[in-house]
Amino acid sequence: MMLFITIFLLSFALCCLGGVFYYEQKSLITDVYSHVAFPGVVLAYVLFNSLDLYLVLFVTTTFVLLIDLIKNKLLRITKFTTDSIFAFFIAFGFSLGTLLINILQNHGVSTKAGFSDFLFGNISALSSNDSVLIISISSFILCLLYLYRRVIKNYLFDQILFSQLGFNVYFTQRILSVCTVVLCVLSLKVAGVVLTTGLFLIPFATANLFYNKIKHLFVFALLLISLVTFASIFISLNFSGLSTGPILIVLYFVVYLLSELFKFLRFKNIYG
Amino acid sequence: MDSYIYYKLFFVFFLVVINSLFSAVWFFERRQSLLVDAISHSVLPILVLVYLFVQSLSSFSFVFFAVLFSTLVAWLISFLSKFNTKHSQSLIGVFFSGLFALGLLLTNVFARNVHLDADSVLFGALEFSIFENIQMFGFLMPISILKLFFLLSVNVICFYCFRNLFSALSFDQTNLKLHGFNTNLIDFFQLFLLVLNVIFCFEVVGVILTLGLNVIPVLIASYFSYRTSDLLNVSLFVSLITLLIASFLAFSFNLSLGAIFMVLLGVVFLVLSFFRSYFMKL
Repeated sequence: MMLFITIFLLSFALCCLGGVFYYEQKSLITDVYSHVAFPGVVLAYVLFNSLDLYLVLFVTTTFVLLIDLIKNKLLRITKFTTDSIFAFFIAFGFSLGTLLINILQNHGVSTKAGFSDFLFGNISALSSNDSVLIISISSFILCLLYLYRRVIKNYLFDQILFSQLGFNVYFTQRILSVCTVVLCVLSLKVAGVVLTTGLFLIPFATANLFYNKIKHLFVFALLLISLVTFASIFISLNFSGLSTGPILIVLYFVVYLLSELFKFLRFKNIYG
Repeated sequence: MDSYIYYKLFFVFFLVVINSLFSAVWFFERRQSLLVDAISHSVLPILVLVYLFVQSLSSFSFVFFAVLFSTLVAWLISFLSKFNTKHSQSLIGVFFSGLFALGLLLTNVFARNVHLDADSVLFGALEFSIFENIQMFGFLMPISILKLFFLLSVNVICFYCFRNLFSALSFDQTNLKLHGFNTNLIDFFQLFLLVLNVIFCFEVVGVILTLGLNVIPVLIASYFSYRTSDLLNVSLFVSLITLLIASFLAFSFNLSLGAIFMVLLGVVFLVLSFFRSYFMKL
């Protein structure tokens, strides 16, 4: 039950933030954050000699936010597209992490298993303390998003109008970035570096195929997340060798493909 | 380690770098660097499925079917992202994470004991690439070097035969259509070349470094020129110099060559970007 609540709340919080970045057309931002978080995890180990989720969260979030500032600066001072800069940070972040692990191994530290939990995700390695941390932070971010939903809607609609209404665009962007980074770091333990993007994007993208109204969209996403989370935990508990993270993403992906097909067939029936 | 092995490793990595640059240039010009990310992740389930049917990782039929099906998937992603340009990033994200998760599940279930596990998919296996040898002209040649030479010849021939067509595709597809060319076919062919490069380079350097090789050298080169041939030459020159330094560091301190190469290239890019912006302000 605890596992279900943990994954469910984390997925729903990620999905809500996924919606914000989806409308901002920066959907792959989590891919950047999760790849850059990987060297942050290694750094946390170097600094504190522990892979405790609380310490990892603190160090990695600081590290990723620092890299995020560099990324924003690069986007301002160069003429490269967001795609190129994102691709650069994905590759650079992951390579830096690999190099740091390599250096640690050369110094006789054998921590490959610990880092694999963050690289590929390992839900079975979540302690009850970790679950409490994930549940409390996800709930806090969900409450924050609910309370400021109108502000976020205005921000997404028109940033010039938003600033003319007296809101601070930069501050809102920073807050959203901090929330995303924190959730990304937490989801490394659940889905791993590569699959975090799936949790962030697929539920919202699926709901967006059917609904345009925000309220309906999130109710659909909520149902989808609860069903898929339950099914993935059930499958991973009953079939050995299948880990929950990849099953979760594969199920979301299958639902997404079926929804695309359904939408296509419905469109064909209506318009011939 | 024997110095002969170092030379072999260096040579294999150098061939991987050159091959990647040929596809990197076109996808940089098309402003679709993240498509490389999507393709490099999406080929994993196809490789596992083809392996399950062919039961070999080095046979011709494995490469043939892997390239064929991966090109189809890559074309599908590219087609869908063109269809939905506003949210192309989200489509790429949905497909690559979904297919990569499927690949991880399939490797866990069916290919656990093969050299296709999750670790080697992410990090590559440069060290193992030189141990499969074949006798040629009295010498023992690593199969990976022969494969990469074959790929290089395909890349060079295609680059010189179709570069005008590929440039036109990157800059003005409508014009190309008006001249009677089938842009979908050219697009498919370009994707085929990318997939060929990704599949050949993937087993040596892994998924993420494949993306890095396809992005960072060309980004650095674009500071010096925008001509396609210059982009290729400058990125090759920068990569070679960086690779020499990276090899020295990697072999002296027993570090991963791919990781240190990419980190050095990343540092060069960051330093160049900030210096350039600083001097332009002055």
